[in-house]
Amino acid sequence: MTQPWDAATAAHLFRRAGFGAHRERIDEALEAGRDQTIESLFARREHDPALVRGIRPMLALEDIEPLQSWWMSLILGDGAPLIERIALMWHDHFATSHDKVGDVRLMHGQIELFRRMGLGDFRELLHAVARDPAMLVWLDGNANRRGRPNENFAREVLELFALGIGHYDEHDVLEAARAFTGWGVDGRRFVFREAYHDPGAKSVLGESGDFDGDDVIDLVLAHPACARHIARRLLAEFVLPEPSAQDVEHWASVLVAADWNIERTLAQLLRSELFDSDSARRSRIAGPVELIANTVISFGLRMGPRDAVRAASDMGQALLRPPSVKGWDGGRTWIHAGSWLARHNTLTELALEHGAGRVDAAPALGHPSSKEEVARAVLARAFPEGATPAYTRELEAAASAAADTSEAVRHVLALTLTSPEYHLV
Amino acid sequence: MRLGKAPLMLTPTLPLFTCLALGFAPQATEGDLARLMPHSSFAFLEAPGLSELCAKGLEHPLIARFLESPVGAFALQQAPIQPEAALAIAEQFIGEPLLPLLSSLSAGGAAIAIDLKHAGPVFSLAVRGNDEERLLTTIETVLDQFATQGKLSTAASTPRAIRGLDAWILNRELAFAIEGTTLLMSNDEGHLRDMIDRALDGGDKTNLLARETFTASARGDASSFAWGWVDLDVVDTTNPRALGDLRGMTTEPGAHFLLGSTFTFLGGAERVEARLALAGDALELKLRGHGVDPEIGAELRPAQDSAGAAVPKGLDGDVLSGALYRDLAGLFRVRSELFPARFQPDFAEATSTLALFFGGEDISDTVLPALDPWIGVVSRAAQFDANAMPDVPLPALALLVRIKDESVGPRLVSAFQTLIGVVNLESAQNMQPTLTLGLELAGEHTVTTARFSPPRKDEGVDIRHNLVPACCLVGDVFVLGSHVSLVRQVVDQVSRGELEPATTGENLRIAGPAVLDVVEANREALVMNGVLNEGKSMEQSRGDIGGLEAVLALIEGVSLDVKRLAATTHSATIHVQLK
Repeated sequence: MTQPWDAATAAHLFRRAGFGAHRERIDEALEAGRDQTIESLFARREHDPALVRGIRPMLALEDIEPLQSWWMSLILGDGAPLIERIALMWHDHFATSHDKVGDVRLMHGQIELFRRMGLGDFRELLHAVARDPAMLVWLDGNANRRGRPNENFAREVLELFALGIGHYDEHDVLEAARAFTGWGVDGRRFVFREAYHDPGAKSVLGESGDFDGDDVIDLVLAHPACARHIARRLLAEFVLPEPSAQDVEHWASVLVAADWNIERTLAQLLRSELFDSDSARRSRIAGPVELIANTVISFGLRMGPRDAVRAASDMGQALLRPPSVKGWDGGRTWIHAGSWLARHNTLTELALEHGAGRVDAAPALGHPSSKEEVARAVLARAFPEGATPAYTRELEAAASAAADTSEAVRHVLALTLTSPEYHLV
Repeated sequence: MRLGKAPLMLTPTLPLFTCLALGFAPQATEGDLARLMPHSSFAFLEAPGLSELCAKGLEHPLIARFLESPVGAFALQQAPIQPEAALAIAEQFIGEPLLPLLSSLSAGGAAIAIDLKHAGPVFSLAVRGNDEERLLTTIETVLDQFATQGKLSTAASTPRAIRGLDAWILNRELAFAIEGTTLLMSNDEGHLRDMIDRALDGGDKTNLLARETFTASARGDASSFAWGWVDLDVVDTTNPRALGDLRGMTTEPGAHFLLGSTFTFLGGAERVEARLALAGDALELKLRGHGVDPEIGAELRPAQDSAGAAVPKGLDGDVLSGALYRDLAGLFRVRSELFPARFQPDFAEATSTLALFFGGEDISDTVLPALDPWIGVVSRAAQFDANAMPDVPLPALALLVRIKDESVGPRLVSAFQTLIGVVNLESAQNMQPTLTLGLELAGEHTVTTARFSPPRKDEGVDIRHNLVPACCLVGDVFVLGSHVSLVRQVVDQVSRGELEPATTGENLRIAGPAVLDVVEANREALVMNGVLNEGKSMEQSRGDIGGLEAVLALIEGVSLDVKRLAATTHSATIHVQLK
């Protein structure tokens, strides 16, 4: 049964389909209703065009940090939350690192690809990623030549990008690699070098023919495991970290029925009982980027994009520099002694208005007029679904021990943001 | 409230006495008010030009130009209150226009000295005017206003007599007295009483003018708007950590390399004097360091009759030019006596690294002594190839060094080629583009160049394309530059003898319009830098860069001159020429 449309449900939607929401946006959503709020999430494209374009001269600096900061500024700006959310998901899915690519413009091109096509037809996205120059550099496309096939890209298409282990064998990898021979990069553009291409017959996933790369991608997309693989990814990102096989199967069929359109599939998913279910809420450990963005946006704090990038990196998620082709392991691996210390320090600084945290959270809390109101106001924002009486009493005690309301806001917020519960989204 | 006049009435002869002692007609001259200050003061600041500035007020040429400029308009736009409105409020408070009043009250100068007591710094302030009655009336009015507003008790606002002068001890942090046309003030009653004693008795032995090191700095004229003097040795004695960074600079090899030894040794001076001069179209700040150790590192500083550097004649569009003195061989020679042990490994590493480029030799013994310490510097916009105009274009920089041993010149060219090879090796290991070495003719001279491959069409031109390094030997002058177009220009100028006259000191000239051009050419990148690195909004960042452009639009040029005036005196002068 669908949950009532209240602040907790709205906050859950904004946490999963974006990076949290400020009090005013939740109030607007409650007034607008569930359907209109979901529609508006898909419709929002409110980035300052000058900000989107502004990265171009910075690309010439050949420094990855401005590009990381630029993307973070789009995320923190909250102008098009679903676009940035889906781009972040594809960045993790098709994980490509600047550490090897070494070309800021190529990394920018790939992120723009995810932002532009991330909500569209997955089949088109997979074809585009296969031709993306950053991906080709990352997985050694230029080294994939007739007679000396390089398996890197073919293997990851089968294993990580589309099917998953168990749905192909080593022969498929070798044959698919042959199909991708000749796909490379010339300067910063995709190039097909016919002389390097192996035109002979190949046998991939049980089919035989003179396949090229596009043919192999089509074969992969036609495999039933592909829709399940992508459905599992969407469910893990937006609903549950470990969805059941039954749910995966159902949403794979929805994806195919939606003509592989991610936006239409998500539109159904976000309205589903599964999405609203108790088992889905607070079921994921927030990744560093979403943790920072959620905190900054929900509490109306200000954090420079560069500071946010560095903080996320300290917590284990350096944008545009995933640790491997598998992306970030996520889940429980987000939390270990070092990353917890980084989370604790960053969020404490934000709450106490030290260092990077320079903006008073009081407006986002509705300007509590007394110390007694502070704990309630903070809880309403951080845990609209409610908190245990014991936890509430702890916060009330901290608020009453503060010298004034302003200090109470800072102290209660610091306690809340550093509580383990807050790191579940 | 009406203040008691009795104490003043009791001392009708005091003003006359004071006039005899201090000179009746007030005229601001440097050091004059120092006779009122404690002998033990460690810092003194005097503003002889304050009265004139106040007299002209908003019509002072410098202030008027500032207010009329875009940056002035921007500042006014941001200010919580406009100057005219602020002056009107002040006029309402004191009952007459503020600036003419301040001009009158400071006609004889204004000075502050700082002394140290156990409880902390103590100031002694003296402001000398030209109208005794006006001074008293102003004090009465101000105190009356504060009393009316409840900020001052009646007792505190009533004067008491100290040696016959009207004095007010407002609290433990503010005490003042009137002596003729002079207002005496301190945050310590004892100091105020001492000031009164010095004003009435002369007190030649207890005042600051009895300090020879001070009188050597006080010129006794009124050419500066303001001047100051600080006895750094006193600060060192009182708080050895206070000047740690400044003192530490003298034993930092990096400071000697970047700032030059003459400037660096300013940080080791016993005393410093600073002088600010204002004109309608210029500001000048002169710093002089006295008591610089004449022995340590003496060879790192140019002699007063030193020949100077080869600097190409200035052209329109020059961003920067100048002459620097860097005795690199000297730095290696004095390394063990001047620099602490922790820097010695750095010298050893530099020696071994540089040896890579010179066939394994210790160049501190061979190559560096052959380089004249004078280095010419010039920066101009580079001429980029049509297909290689960087998205972020930066001006090119060239250095010129005279070679004293002709065998060393070709070795420098070889070292340049080796350097490019080493850079290429590292780039190749990181799959980055490499530079291709080449030779070009510039007149009769061969220029060695290194170029990246031209960027591909429509793929953007990265910042590295600002770099087309080149070098050339022109007679005994070695030219090294970041872009071949500038190197060719410089080679042409040197071979024609188009050089600036040699200077005796180090100098840098920076052209405001050329710097403005660089900022304007990279405005969008600078704006985004503010957004991404500092977390500003686009609007804020645009405003900041607009403000910077407005400031630069005011400036015709900035020059920095650093000289060794005498064995123990170094000077640095910053001159800002407005348009």
